[in-house]
Amino acid sequence: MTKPNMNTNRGKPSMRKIIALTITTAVLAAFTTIHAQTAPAAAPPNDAQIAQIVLTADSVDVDYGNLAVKKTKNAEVKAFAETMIRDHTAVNNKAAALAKKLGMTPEASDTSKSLKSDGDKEMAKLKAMHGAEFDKAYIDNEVTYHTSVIGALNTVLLPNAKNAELKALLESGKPIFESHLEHAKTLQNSLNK
Amino acid sequence: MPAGSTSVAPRPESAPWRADLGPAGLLRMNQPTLQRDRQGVDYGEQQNVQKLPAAIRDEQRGGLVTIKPFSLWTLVISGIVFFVAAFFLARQGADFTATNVDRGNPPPAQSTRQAVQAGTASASVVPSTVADANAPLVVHLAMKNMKFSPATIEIKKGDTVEWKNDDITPHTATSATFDSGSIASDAVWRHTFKDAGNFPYTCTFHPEMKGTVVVK
Repeated sequence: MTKPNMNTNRGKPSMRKIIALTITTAVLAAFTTIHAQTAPAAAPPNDAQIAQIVLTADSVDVDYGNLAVKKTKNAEVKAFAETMIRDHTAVNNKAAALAKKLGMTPEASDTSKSLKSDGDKEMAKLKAMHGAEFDKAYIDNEVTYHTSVIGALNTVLLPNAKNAELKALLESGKPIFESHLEHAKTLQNSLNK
Repeated sequence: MPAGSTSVAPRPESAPWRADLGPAGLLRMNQPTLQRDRQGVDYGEQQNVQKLPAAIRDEQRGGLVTIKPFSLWTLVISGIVFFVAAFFLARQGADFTATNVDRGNPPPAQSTRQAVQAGTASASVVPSTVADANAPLVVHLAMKNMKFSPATIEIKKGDTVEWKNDDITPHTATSATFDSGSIASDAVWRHTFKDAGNFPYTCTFHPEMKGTVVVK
């Protein structure tokens, strides 16, 4: 004998079920939104974005260097600044030439934009300084800046670069930035004496 | 026909593709089948006759592997000659990688002069007379990855060092007695060392780049 069907609500979702589903959806939506706000999804940069990051990073350092050449009275700091201008311009020219060759238009990204805005902020600070205070601030900034550029090169740019020539350019940039960092640290030590 | 037998018997016209004919038989298989249809004198056999002596010689040798037209004997003798020649050239200390001294990880203070001379000697198979052991040389040095490569080189009085900039940034080679000025990427600069001594130098743009030229 078949059991009588005790489900009197046949076909229609119960009120309880509706409420439960709504609450679950609302909680999940809220959680996702909060999560997204606190940890914005940072997609790895593509080659065009990597090229722009390199171009921006170099330009920012060339700007710092131009300011230092004008302001400093210290011969060693001036020589260092001139090397920064020379070397970063050379890397930029290579990067731009490669982008042109590959038919790639460098693309701005959050990273390149924040590099530029941080650079502008630092420039404003340095412009307000003079003499030994300027020299120290400039060199300290160069140490910090090159350290973070090398870090970005190793953790973000090199691992994500797809094009072989772009990768080779980034690899050739590494010893340049490392030598700049060494140079800046030596100067930092002598300025702190 | 069994393989390895002498090939004087007439060609079996009805079965030109038989594989068991032996080396001489294989020669006959090159004949076009149309010959079978030719009327009058059959020139096929004459052709075979011209080829036959060589074929017979091959068969008599047991069909040794060889590369025509050289005989096995020629190959063996030339192999021994080349081996012995290479053996004695190597014993002379020929450095087959010589003239250009810049390497990824070059040994420090290598005697570049000896390397260059040995390199010249090994270039030709017949050892040529090295004109003058003291003839001035051009020794090559690279600026690569923000380093002088090799960092230390040994040369003789009168030799010339040629610096090549393999980096994308400009460099210099500057010491108390010589200054290259800015050497652009891919450019070279030469300096002849007329005096003996130790010449430490640096890149004025990148002070951490250091090298030494040891002139004997």
